[in-house]
Amino acid sequence: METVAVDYTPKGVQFFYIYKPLAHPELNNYISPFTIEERLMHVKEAERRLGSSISWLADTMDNVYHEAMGQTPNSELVIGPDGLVAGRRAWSDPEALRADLERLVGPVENPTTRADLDLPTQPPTPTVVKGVVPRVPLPEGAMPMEIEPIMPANGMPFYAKLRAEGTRQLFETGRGTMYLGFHLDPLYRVHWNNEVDPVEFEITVPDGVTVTPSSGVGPDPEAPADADPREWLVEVSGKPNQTLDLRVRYYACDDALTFCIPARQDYRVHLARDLNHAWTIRMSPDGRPLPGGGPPQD
Amino acid sequence: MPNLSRLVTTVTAAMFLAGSLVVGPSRAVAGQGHAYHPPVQRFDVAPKVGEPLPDLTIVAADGSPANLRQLVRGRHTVLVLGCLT
Repeated sequence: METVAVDYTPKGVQFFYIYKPLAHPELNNYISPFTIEERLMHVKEAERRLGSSISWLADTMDNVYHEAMGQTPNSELVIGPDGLVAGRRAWSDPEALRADLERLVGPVENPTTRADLDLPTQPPTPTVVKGVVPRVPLPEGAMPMEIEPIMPANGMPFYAKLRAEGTRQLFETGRGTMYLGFHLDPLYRVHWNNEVDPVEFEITVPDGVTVTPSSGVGPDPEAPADADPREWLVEVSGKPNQTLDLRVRYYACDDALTFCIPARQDYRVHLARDLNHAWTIRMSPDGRPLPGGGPPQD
Repeated sequence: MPNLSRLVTTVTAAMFLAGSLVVGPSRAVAGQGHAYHPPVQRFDVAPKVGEPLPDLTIVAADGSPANLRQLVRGRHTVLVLGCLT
C-alpha cells in the first residue's frame, strides 16, 4: 500500500486508512477502545508503529463506515473525482490497487518497490511484567460479546477494560459458559498494584436469569505489580440477548507511579455476539502470539 | 532474539497492511445472527462500482468530524479499513 501511495500521491490521489474496531482483541496486548478519544489514541499508536505516510481517519464509535462495508476487516474502495466508486475489493490488495490507478490515473514510470522504502516501524507499547497470574482458558469457540461501558460522570477512563466472551450455545440459548476478563489498556501505561485490594466484580441479573458465580475477587499474587488480565468463567442461565449489569472495583495505578486511585465502573453485558470483532489472539508473556483461536465452528 | 523480535514486528506489520484475519458479519446489515461468514460474502453490502459512497461522518485524526463525501470530492481517493490487530 505504501509503495502505491508514494507513487500516486504526487499524481493527486488521496489515500486514507480508516481505523475500525479491533479484529483480534489482545493481539500485541491491544484492548478495544471505549471512546472516540481512545480510538484516536489507537490511531496515534498505529502511526507510530507503522511509520506510514498515509493519513488516518477514524470510524465513529457506532462504526457506521465499518457496517457500510459489511464489517470487513481490511476492505478497500477507490473513489473517482465524481464521488462514485471506481474500484472495490473485500481485502486490500496493493497490486490490484496499482492496476486500478494505472487505469484511472495513468501508469508510473518507475514504480516504487517495498525494497525502496525504509518505514520506521516500531514495536508495540511495552507493558509491565506479564506471566504472574495464570491465564484462564477460553471456552472452545468463544467469541467476544456485546458490552456497554457506562461512562462515569467523573470522566475517569476505563484503565482496565472488560471483555466478555461466549460460545455459540450461549448466544443461541442464553445458557452456557461466559468468560469475563479485565484487561489493562496498554495505552494508559498502568499496572495492577498487588499491594492494595484486588479486583472485585459483581453481576446483577434480571428475573429468571442466574449467573454462577455472580461475584468474584481477583488473585493476590506475591509480585508487587503485574499486567496480567484478571479473568473468570461463569455459568449463565438465561435467554439470548438478555442484559446483565456488571460492576467492577479496582485500583488504577500508572507505571510512572504518579497515581494509584480506586475505580468503580459499570457495564451492561448482552448475551449476544459482538460482530465487530473476530476471535481473540492471546499473547505469551514474552510477546509472541499464542496458537489457538480461529473462526467459530458453525 | 533480535531476529525473533524483528519477525514479530514484520508479521504484525504484514497482518496490518495485508489485512488482519476475519471478523463476523453485521446482524444489522446481514441479518445472519452470530454465524460466521467470510469477508468476501459480507462485502456484498458495500457500494458497488458506479455507486456513490454512503453519506456519513468520519472522524479526522484531530478528532474533528468530517463528511466523507466532501472529503473525497474532486480527487481520486483510496479508502482502506485497518486497525492495530
